[in-house]
Amino acid sequence: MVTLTIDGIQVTVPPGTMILEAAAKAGIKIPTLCNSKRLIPFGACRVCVVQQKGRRGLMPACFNPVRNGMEILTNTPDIIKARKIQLQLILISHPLDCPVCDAGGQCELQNLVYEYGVSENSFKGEKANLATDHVSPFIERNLNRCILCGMCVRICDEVVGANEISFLNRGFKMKIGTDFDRPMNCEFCGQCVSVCPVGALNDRMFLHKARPWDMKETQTICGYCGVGCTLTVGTKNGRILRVRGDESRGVNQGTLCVKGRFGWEYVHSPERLTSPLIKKDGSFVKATWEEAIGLVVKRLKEIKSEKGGSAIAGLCSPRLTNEELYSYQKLMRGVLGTNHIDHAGGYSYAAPLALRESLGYAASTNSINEIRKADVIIALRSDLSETHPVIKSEGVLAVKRRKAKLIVVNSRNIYLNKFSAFNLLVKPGSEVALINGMMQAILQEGLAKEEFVSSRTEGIEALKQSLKNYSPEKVEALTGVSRASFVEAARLFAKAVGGVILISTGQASEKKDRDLALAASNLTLLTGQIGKENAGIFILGEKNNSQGALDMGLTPGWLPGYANLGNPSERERFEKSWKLSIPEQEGMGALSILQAAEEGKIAGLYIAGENPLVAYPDSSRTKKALAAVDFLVVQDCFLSETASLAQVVLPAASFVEKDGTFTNADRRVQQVRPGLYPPGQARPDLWIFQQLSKSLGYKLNDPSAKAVMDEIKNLVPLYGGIDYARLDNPLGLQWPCSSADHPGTPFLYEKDFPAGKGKFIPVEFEEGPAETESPWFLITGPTMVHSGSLSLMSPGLTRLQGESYVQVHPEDARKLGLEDNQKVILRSKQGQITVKTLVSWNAAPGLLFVPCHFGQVGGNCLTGRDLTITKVQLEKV
Amino acid sequence: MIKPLLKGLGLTLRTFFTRPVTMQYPEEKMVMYPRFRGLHELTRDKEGKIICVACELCAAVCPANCIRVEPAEGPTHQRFPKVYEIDLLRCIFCGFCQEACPYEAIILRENYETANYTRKDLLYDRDKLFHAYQK
Repeated sequence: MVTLTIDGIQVTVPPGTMILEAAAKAGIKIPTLCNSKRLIPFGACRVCVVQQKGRRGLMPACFNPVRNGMEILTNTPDIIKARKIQLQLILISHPLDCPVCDAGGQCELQNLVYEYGVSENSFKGEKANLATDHVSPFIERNLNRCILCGMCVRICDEVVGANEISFLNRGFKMKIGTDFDRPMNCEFCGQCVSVCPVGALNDRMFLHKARPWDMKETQTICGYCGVGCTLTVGTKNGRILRVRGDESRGVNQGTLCVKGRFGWEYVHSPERLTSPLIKKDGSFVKATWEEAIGLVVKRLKEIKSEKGGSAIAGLCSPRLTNEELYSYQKLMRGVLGTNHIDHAGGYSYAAPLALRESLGYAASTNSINEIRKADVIIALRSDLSETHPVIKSEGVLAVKRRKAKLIVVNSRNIYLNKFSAFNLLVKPGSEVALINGMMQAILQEGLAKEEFVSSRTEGIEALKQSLKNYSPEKVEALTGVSRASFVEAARLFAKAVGGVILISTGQASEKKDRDLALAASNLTLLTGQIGKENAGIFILGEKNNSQGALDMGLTPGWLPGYANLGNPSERERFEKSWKLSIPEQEGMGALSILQAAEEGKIAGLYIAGENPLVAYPDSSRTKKALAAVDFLVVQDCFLSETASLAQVVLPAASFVEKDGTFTNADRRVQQVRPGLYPPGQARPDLWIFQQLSKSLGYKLNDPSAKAVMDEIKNLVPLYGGIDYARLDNPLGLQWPCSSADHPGTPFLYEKDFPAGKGKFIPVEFEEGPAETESPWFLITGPTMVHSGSLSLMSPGLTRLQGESYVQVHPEDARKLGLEDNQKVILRSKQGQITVKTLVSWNAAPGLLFVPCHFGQVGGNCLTGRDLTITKVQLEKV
Repeated sequence: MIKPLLKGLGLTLRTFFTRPVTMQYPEEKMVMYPRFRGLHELTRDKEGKIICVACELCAAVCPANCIRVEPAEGPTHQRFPKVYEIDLLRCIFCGFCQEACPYEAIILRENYETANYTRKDLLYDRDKLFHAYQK
């Protein structure tokens, strides 16, 4: 540690700290225009100059590391004069159009000029006269206001890794721009906008909308993917005007993706449901809440008394808050008497449950911010730049700052390969064989952590036995990856100080997710990459509360907190507390529910937030199943494809209109705070569940999310210490948090595993079905711009990507004579779609990719329910 | 007793022969001093267009909190006031808005005849303020 004195205040900081940070620790503010804690010091603005006693001249504080015994002065007349001159030099070319500039009121230059009293400028020079870019989506560039601090260029390079903008020209003509001054065409994450200290880069949607002091800002959690980014939502007059990230809060530390920052428009969509709807003679009629709830209660009661509770089923979306999910399963299990509940099609949670089997907890083992400190990162079947762009930034930080090695295991040439040391392009579905091959290589070379394996794990013999079949030659044949590269990747991972495996879950085969997670867990146990910081396995859920849905027991076989439904004593614990009875027989998963519905066994189906018709595979069969249900209730923000089949539609609130908590992919429980009132008669889901339950004769809780969390706290040991008062901090709380004084658990299994030892569970690679005559593999998945079908309601996002497409590799396109934007028909056993082609190097030869978002022309029209590898035929129109 | 009475009558007698101060309003109208602060006007440029760019400094400085501005983007991407409202019932005619305005887009002028019958009539919107002094 280094001790120094700044303006007479002594501070002790770690070596390598810059004077600027040390001063911040001492509570002294040094002005700066080009420094951010997210970026490497750059020293462009020269406003942060300070003086060291006993040395001549001034030096920038952002750029000079501390030394022992330094005496720094930050506020002498000399320094103030130098800063004033520096500001005057900046003001030579900076236009004084503050009244029309959107940064006015939060502009750092404006603040400094005011603070230092720079009222006139003795320097004269030309003002820049560059054209403003009004064309780029989401981002408005007025380069005349640019002060060339380089923050946008640096964040785009260092954190995002997109390198979309750069310094152009030299000297007086220097400016920030894209190549050949074309409009921007990047990820549109808006990081550049968020760091710009002046008004050169603006949020297009916020342009000329309000002043910063007009807005009420609410700290809440993003409602799109499982990263759980903290959003600062600015609202005025009941409308969202701007969303930004706050550097000092949350796992994202200010980083957001295009959906989080610009995808909120759906909240104000004119298509939002504003009153309950009841279907009469085939068309929807507006109704009051009393009528709608009365009808739902009447019909559900009838079904329950005629056919029993097991004729009722429920599908819930993992987008809801923990409190809502908990209340929903309580309503379904206790009040309606059915265990047939599921979420996300039953696809998303095989991987976490597999980790529960082998390690003990059904969740990621470490914290998201540890990824940036890892040495080797394996992105296992994870297209992070599309599914979790903020996690991608963590990977970019590791690769660019720490020279970490990124190993990409995927069947497509995903964008992440730009940063990878190894691109292991596997045959679709053969990831498990590759991991097994890596483990065999580690065993053969004696790189396994023998001490860790012998003291903390069990079942190594069985694993060794099963790995004998995975010789490098065989794995090479199974996966199509060259022996040299995956063996080298295995060596790297085994020798790494911190090795991380990232697995994203979502629309993949349930069976394969389990195998993949188990294989990953075997690999980490074998190499000792678990139970320590900066290592471990991450299961990245597709939706904002995928983890919470699992924790809250939204599955057929598990009660909240992973209490086994089949265990009578566990069941009794809940029954006693709820004063309700829970049916004994295990429920059906989502696909079994749809199967049963098709066979006419399900008479009442209550869907909250899900849109199975778009999100589940095999759309045509799903439609048949939903049509066969006697009484279908759908609760959603929009009249979705599924909702239009319903008898009763209940309008729900969006994530910015309700209270509650989300649990993100690193087990972090974070508070969601309302920034708006729901439109019209729409109500938060919790309110709807409580009203329904009350009408069914059981009062659920006090009508607040806090009261529900207090109940969860008492019943779920993992959430035992989670309290709204404690959640009011920038980072939330990570479960397991067993008591009120437990600080939360940043990484799991530090001392021991819940079951004593970590289990090796060998998994065998099963080859897909025999080759059919069709040569095309189909992969479906989410894209960066969209999430489920909700984001399709945001006009800004649909402008970026408004229609479905099929990604074709250029070599394949050449063979077939296909061009970009050409219509083709894709046909599988399940159905067919007509889409446009997108010729891209991101696809792999012989493999097609179709996004899963677009209802009638999405990938889910082609995939089968078992989600084994889908083969399709391709025809030109 | 007599002495003060005579003194008072003396004053009356003296002013009896001077010109009267009372004006016969509304037949006669007072001409205000140039720095008088009466009803606001949103000024116009040479082409007759509104100068205001909706920077909201007037609203920010207003001690009575009676100005509401909502900016918007015009067809040439310029900033203009979509809404500009002054609640004259609340306004204390302090002139801070005029002082804060960087473009002299709002000025307080000579008109003091703002009485009206309903509260609604005293909520001056953008167009009313823009045409406040137009003949």
